[in-house]
Amino acid sequence: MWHTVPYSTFPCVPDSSFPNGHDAKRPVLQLELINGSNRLSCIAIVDSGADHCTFPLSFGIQLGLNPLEMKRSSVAGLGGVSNTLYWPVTMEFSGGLLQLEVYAGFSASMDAIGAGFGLLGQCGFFDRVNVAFHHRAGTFAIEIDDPPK
Amino acid sequence: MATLAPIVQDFGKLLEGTPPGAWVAISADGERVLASSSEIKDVVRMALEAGEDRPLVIRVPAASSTFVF
Repeated sequence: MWHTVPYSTFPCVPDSSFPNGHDAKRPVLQLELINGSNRLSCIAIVDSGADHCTFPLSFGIQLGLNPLEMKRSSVAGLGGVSNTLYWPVTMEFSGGLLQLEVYAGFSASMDAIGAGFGLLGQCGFFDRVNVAFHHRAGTFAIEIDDPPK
Repeated sequence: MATLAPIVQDFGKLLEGTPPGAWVAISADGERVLASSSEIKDVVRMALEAGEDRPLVIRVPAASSTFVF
């Protein structure tokens, strides 16, 4: 079944390139990250350019993850190459409408650039659901498998 | 019907007046900013103390708020 979601609006402050500032439209979902009994409600951008589902490292710390126990991998982005720490967590959407077990990345670089949201990437998200973007209409849609009857 | 949409669509309106770069905890109905702080653990704690056991936690955009990943 397809679920239509409106794009969310985020303020972008004025700078020399955009002296009047502007609003950024982003395809965002709300979810709960779950690690054992620890939960964190957050938002994440549906990002087809991300290889993996990735969140700020501060989210992982809040979930009780221990960076010293996590697996490390180099991840390249526009800000350069940085280490991202990986750990299996659960992503729960809309109170259990969709629940995905994912080997998620947690990145200190995302904290450093001020990103207070996650990225839902190819591995763990796009390989589990279908996604359609309708930016001009201001919506995107997620197709979730119907539960077994 | 259950929805996948965030409880907030216009984050600019809700976050108006909150300090740039701060973490904020938003009420479960998406109507109010319950707490703001430079530390994520502090906003979660303050929201819990305010009776909100599952606040939505996000960060207010700072000086550079356009993202390309």
